[in-house]
Amino acid sequence: MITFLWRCLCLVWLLIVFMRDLVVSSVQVARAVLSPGYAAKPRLVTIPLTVESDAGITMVANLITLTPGTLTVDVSADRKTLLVHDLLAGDSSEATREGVRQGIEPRVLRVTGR
Amino acid sequence: MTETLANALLLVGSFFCLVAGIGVVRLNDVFSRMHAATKAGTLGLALICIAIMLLADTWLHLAEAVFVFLFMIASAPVGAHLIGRAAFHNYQPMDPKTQADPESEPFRHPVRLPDSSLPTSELVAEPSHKSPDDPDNG
Repeated sequence: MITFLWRCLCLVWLLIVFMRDLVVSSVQVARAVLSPGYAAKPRLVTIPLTVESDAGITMVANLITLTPGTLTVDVSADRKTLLVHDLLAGDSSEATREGVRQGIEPRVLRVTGR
Repeated sequence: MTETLANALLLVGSFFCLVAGIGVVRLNDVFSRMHAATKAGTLGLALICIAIMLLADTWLHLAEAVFVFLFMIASAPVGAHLIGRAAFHNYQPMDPKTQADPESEPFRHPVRLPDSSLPTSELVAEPSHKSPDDPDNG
């Protein structure tokens, strides 16, 4: 019972952070679209996953799509890696990877359990 | 007061929807366009839904707006994901400035695990020519 309530609380927190991310990413996209000298540096990034359940992977993939700069393209056949398109990553994949590993994944794990 | 706030939200919301439209026309490749269509589009619709909730005079109208928003959140990323996936597997042209992790190449020909429950016809990847069942939903 306590775990259930805790998970609901985590879900609410996930939604709050998600709304903030959605606003940030939309403003970012709006800036990229409306600035005349648009110079994006897109990059395809592979991200190793720690979540294992179907629900977890689905939530991570959907949240990645709606958070700043990133769009999920595919999940590997063994379900251990996500392929992500980052609009502004430039030369390095690390920042994108860390953002998912330390931001989105722990928040989803707290809701789904694994 | 409520009405002024709702009007402002409607205006900002439609601005983001407009940005989503401009982005789809202006950005360089399928993936970048999906960025514009999902993010700006979802936020625009969210703001418009909040405006509708503020102006709602019955619970039914309020619930309608909530459901519109929930379905948008659930469906927009999935749609973008599927379009991007189809484009990637079909070697659609990509922004020449795009860089890629070396590990991203195997994603084009997904090797299914032997114990996969999928039918064997899906196990064969055909990289050289376009697949006959090109997704075309009109």
